[in-house]
Amino acid sequence: MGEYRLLLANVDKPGSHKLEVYRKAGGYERLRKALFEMKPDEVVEEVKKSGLRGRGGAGFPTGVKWGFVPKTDLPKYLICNADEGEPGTFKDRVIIEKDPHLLLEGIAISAYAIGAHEAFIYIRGEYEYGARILESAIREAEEAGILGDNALGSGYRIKIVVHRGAGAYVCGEETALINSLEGRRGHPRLRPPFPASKGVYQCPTIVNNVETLASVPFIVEKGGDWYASLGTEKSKGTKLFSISGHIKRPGVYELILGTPFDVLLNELAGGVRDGRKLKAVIPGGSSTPMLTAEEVEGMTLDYENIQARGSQLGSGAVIVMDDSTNIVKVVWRLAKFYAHESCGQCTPCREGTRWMVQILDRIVRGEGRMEDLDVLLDFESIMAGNCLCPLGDAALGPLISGITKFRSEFEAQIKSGRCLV
Amino acid sequence: MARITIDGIAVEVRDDATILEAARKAGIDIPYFCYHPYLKPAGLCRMCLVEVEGMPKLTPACVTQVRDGMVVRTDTPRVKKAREGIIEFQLLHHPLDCPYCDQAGECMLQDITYRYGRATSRFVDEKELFPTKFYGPFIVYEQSRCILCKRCVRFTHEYMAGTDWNVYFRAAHSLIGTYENKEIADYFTCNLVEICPVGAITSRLYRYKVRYWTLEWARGVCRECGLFCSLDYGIRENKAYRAKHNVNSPGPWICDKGYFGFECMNHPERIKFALERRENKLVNVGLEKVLNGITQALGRYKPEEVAFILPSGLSVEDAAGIRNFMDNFGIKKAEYRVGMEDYLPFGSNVDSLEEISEARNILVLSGDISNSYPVIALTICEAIGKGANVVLLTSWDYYLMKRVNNLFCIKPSCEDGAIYSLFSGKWDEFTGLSREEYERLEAFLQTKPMIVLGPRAQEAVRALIVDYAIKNGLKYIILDRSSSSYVAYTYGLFCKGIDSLLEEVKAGSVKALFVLGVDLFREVPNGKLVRDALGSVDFMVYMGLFFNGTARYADYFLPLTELVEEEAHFVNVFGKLTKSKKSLAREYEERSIREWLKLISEKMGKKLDLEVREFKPKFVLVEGNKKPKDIVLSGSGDFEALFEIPFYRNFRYMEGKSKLLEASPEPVLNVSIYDARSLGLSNGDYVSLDIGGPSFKYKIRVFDELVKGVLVADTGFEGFPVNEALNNRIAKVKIKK
Amino acid sequence: MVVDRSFVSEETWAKIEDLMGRYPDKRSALLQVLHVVQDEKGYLNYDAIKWIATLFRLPPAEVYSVASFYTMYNLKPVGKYLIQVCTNISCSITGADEIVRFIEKKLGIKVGETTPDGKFTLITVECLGSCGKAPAMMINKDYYEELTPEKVERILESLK
Repeated sequence: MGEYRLLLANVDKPGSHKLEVYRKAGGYERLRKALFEMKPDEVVEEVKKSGLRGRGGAGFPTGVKWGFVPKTDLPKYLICNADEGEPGTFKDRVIIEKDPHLLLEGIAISAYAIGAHEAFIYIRGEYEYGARILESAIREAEEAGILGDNALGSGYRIKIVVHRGAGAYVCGEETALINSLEGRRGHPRLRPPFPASKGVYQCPTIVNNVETLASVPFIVEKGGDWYASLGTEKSKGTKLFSISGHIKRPGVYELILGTPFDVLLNELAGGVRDGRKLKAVIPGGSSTPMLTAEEVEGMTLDYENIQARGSQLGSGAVIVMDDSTNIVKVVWRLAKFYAHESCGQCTPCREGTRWMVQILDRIVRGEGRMEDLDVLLDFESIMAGNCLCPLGDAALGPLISGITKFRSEFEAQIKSGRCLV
Repeated sequence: MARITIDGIAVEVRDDATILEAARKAGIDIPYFCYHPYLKPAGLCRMCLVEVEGMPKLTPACVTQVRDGMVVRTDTPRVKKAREGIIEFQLLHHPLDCPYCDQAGECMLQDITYRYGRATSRFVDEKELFPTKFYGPFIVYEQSRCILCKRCVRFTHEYMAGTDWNVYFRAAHSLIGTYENKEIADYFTCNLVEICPVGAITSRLYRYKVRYWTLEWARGVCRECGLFCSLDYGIRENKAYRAKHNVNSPGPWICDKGYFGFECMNHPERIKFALERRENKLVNVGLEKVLNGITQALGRYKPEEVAFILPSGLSVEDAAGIRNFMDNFGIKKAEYRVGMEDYLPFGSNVDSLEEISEARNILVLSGDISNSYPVIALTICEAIGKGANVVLLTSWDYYLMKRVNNLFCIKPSCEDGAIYSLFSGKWDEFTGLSREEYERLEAFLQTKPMIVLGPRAQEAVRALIVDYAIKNGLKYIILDRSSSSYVAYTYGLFCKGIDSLLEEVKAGSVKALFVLGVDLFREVPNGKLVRDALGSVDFMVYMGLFFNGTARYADYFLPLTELVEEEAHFVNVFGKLTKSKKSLAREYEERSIREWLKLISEKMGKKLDLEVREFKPKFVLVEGNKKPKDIVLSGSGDFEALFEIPFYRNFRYMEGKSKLLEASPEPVLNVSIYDARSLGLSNGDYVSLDIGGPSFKYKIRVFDELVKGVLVADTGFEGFPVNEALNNRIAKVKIKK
Repeated sequence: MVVDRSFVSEETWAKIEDLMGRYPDKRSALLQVLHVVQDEKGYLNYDAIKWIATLFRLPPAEVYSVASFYTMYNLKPVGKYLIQVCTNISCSITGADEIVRFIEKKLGIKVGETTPDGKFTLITVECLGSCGKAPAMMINKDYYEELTPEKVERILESLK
């Protein structure tokens, strides 16, 4: 078992971002198939059958989400979430920069499936290069008659607009993203109503991650059953993993879900660097609770196995920390990130993340008190599930797991009174 | 209907009710900060979290709709823990300065902490405190006390169609305040104070005056415009300290004029004794002497030589009293249209503010609605917030021009012509509208919009619109300049217009005047005529609260009561009555208009009946089709100027409302961006305005939406007699840097 | 409403017109217009905010409220080169702090400051999505990855 390249099949080809190269590899034939041989509902059905789950982090079944779009006369919109901001995650960037037409094809098919004529790619502001690549890919595809008023001559209109974000992690949350797309502050909205019934411009809207949408062409091409034959019982298909940290060969690797973590860590990424020992792993992006070296033993990379170990597959961003890592500093650094990125709307997230940082600042400066650790752990009862959006819970991920699993390290820091900065 | 159980209590509520509403019905208290019955649910503060059977997470009661059979618990350890946590979080950086905070006693944070909070805080870190910010004359902002519930910001978005007040940055650095200006005085500023659940935004007028719990509340009516909003006044030791809007009468919000206007009751310069002229002074000679003097003087004039000039904000009782007084003595002349209106009330077929807020299309014509009927303008903005398409055709409306979806701005002298041409279906190039603009307006008219017509439009235009609206089934509201129009018209208290009445005074055919609470120099656009008329008046009784330019000509000054010093009824633009109770005892000789007239009448041997048994407003019936009168502009110059009293001066008894006047400290001249550029003018520059003779110093405000060649100039300033150089609201003028 | 087109270059104006035509509701273009105006002006001062507000028929406070929510809009002047060093998790455990200290020393400024000649502004930012090539930074719109002090020195030299 090693890499299984479905989404990454083209990325190493020279000029992989060009239409010509993409078409040579059979590009846009899946769109043709969908438009000419399938009804929208049939596409939805295949995606349901495939067992594809959202690759942005939440892992919600994509076909089920599409099924929530009501049958109304209102325009429907598809939004591709390319606001890749979860620390540790850099997988979507590869698709955007190296195989933009795969993404566009996935968007076009998905738009057709849910009855949308307009789709937006919400790309994080920092990926300006990626935005340019996408813009020119759209232009190429429009000029070739693949996108536009008459996609591939089918009479179906598909317009794709690239929308750049401007630096706000919270806009990765789909309702915040919708507000941002409407030209507003990136505040998450209350749910219900869910975007599938009332999203952008109060119309039915589906928001899917880049990787999710890029998987759709393969499902259309080879069938939902084929896709579902890859992976485990609850985790179907392939997934991109971005592995970083204290590792020899960091990067993006595509694996069939259920592949042993050991394959990713040691075979592909070359293991922990400088001959050091593994200390901890954040398995699915900074919001997922960290796991100790013992806890990742025998772990397989799929939704259920990681969940059973008390963490999540998340966005597939694996951050590897060796035994030189100071966990107190890691927890402190991540707390600062969430305090910086909280939108500030709801009390528990805004005040909780701020206080978290104030306490950790003190601990890191060597002015911590033992009681502080219990206060920090108590944040869970105040914040968990009580915030308006998942950001508050995300902030708890590294905090609670860090203190619980490496409590002695925190206690040692408090006792030593050492200033770490 | 849905049946749900909250803490074991069964309650039946509407299917679309929220858990919070259901809990109220069941008599169970659920604490909240950001929820407000008139704001869209936001779910921000997370104070109202409750446990619902079958739901894994706690859920905010303010936004969660009930389901039949739902079982809710507010008394579980999880809920208790969450509440304590949220309160602890809210208080982390709070200064805990209740002992001198004006909100204490009506502070939701204080109340909720007391009921649901922990006894101690675990916070040992440094509090982030911020300095006090004074945003202009009305509000104080204490960021340290702000819990970021955003009620204020949401109000500005949902009702005001935006203003210079917002939230900036994000996370714990979120900051609320103005952006463009250091001050905020935007007609509805008072609502920011009222809507703030904590001591973050408080009123400067109320600052450090009294403690909330020492106040008693008296129901009264604001008399500043034809909406006659019902207000509650906070009273202590026979003095008013606060105003508060009370729900839904006629709407949930009020304007600054009403909120800060009660100040005139307590003003130190208020006159509370009847005075008589001795040489150049009005002096207190005792009530008896004053009454004798007035009755003796009146005896010298024939009934046709006596006339009444009436204020805006007249109560039904006063109007009836004046009518009866006039009938007692055969007096025929009275006039309420001091703004030189040529029209009488046409009324409206709209019943409530709610109807305006629900309208999908609204055509707003003429102006200046936001100045004369602020809450109607606010409701139009509310409709904009709800997605209505609002089209405005005007030369000037400070508040609405920046906010409507489609603006057609024209010259003041073209207003009537343009509206007339639109409703008579004939485009005319002299209206200042291009053919294309005219067609867009005409197309909009086809959507059968609600029509709101402002007080500047003349009679012919009014009649045409009402006629059109009735024939085509449109909703309309025809707004009059004077809020007394309904009662005054119903009691026949009008003659041929203020100018013709003043001409008679000038010519000597009217010799005795009762001027009731109006400063003619301020309110009559033809200031020249006022000066000439008052200069030649033989005898004048002035009733009011303060000494002013008009009172200077009085032989007798009779002090009036105001607001909650008398019981009275008022009839609003929708034809509905509101009642003001008498809650303050009178100190000296102040009386209502009708009480003074009763005293005088009885002194002259005739009883005056003050009881009003029934009141039904009458309206003008539309007949015939008149063309609007051409507006002849006096003066000369390249600019056409419109002279209007600005919002923060346009009210009764200006002299006693210093707080409001602070928002309009000096005369402003609004200039279009084109003219500003060609003349090299920018905000804050001073120019002199030449009206053919005297010139007046104005401060420049560049107003993006104004039409080229048009100026809008403030009037109504003490010692700034620009009116006296004018004979109408519009004139040709020149400006010099 | 009057929009003074001469406030921006013809090229920027053309971009703005294009952007405002892309969406079903023109307000959606607000973030994009803030980007292109900033690209031309370097930062968004009151005049720029007010101009954009007029363009969108919004109160300037509303535009500022939106702009200040996002970290990529510069509300104050920045140097010709805006150095944005990622200090989030993968970068910080692979030496980002060292990179920041190196740049501070090299340029003689602290994080958040601008060199007296107005050439460089140094800030730290959250995850740039370069964790696979950490530590990373952006200078204006370009990514620089797998940084070492030596590499940073060469990059800074090349910008002088």
